[in-house]
Amino acid sequence: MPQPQGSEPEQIALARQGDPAAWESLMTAHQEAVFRMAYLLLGDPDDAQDAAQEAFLRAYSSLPRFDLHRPLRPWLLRIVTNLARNRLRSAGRYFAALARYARAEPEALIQAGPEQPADSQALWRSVRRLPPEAQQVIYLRYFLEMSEAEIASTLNVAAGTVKSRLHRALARLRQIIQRDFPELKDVF
Amino acid sequence: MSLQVPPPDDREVRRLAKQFRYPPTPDLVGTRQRAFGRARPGGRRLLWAAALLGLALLVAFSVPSVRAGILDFFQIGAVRIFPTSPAGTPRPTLTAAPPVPGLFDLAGETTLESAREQIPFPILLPSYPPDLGEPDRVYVQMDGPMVILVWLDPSGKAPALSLHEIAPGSITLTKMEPHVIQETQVNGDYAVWATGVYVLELRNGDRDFRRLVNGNTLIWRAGEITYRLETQLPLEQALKIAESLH
Repeated sequence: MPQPQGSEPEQIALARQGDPAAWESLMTAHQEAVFRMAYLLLGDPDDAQDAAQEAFLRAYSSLPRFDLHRPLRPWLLRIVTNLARNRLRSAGRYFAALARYARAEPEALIQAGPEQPADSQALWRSVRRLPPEAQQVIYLRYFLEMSEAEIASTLNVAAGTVKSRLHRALARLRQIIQRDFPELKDVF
Repeated sequence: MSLQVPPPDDREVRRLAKQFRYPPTPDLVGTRQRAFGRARPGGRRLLWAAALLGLALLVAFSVPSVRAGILDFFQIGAVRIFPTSPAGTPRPTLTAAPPVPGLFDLAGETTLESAREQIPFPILLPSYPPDLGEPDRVYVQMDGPMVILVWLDPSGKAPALSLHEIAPGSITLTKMEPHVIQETQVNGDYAVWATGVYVLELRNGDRDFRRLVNGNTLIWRAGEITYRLETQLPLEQALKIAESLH
């Protein structure tokens, strides 16, 4: 694993000049978060890997315009979220039908992945029934453990908006759990 | 939304999320290296450029609206671009008197505050350039719905920048034969850059409004909203403006 060379802005500046080691170091630092966000949204490790790879490709092509005084991770997460959502919306009646099926029975789209503790699996299944915007804020806050400031930067909204979206998302999540996931009712 | 029950204790959500197990993170760096090999520094740029071109083509052809559009037109959200005009449509030039109204002839002028009350989606504003400020003119078309924000030039008489924000609905915008069409990205979303003199047609049911555009336009879609930025600035600056929307 390449060792970090200087601060993140310095690495971004080097990557812009075509230094491959700098860009690879940045990829290594952020690939776990990017991949995990894609996996949470798509439910399939192979699709998540494709989306993560594409996200870094697009980020690299947009790097000259990136403000290197901003943190890189929120921007990368925004790119991979857009890509994942585009995949779920993307072309053809097959994918449209698949997306409708996913909204009705999201657990059917959770492909082979690691075995989960039952409660965590149920939580994920319940979150996947939320609207995309609510899913996103739950994943960023609780699964990827980002601060409200980082989430605000990822979503390009004010910190107050993050708070209100989280509040609404949790309220809807509770309704879904009470209706569809009795195994979690005692937890909450 | 009325909350019938208090939201769940988020400590429990946090605890269960922390226990969530992910698949092993793939080595994306290694994958990229194996795909492209350890090229010479100069060669690596070519390989990345080739990969990006391939990606752009793959993205273009994987989206059915764009794929179909390569035959007749491009479509992004509510905006449809005809690279060549439908048969019988005269190509506009600036030597003739403009046959169509301009931005200031739009109906529905209002204030930003009032627009925010009427429009059902968040109206985003650019934060770049830093001294841009709020728009000088705001127009709302409720049938789309659509909001059009206009910033005036220093003379106060002509638009320097305009931004359409369009929700999915009955409004479509059609651009006839812009001079150049180029694919690009805004925050990772597919976007199109069109330049030149062309007629912009805004159609809603049986209502039709056309105006002449002479300049550059960046069109992209974020979520359900289509954005159309009209400017005299070059692409790099337009992208900075687009990516600063908040």
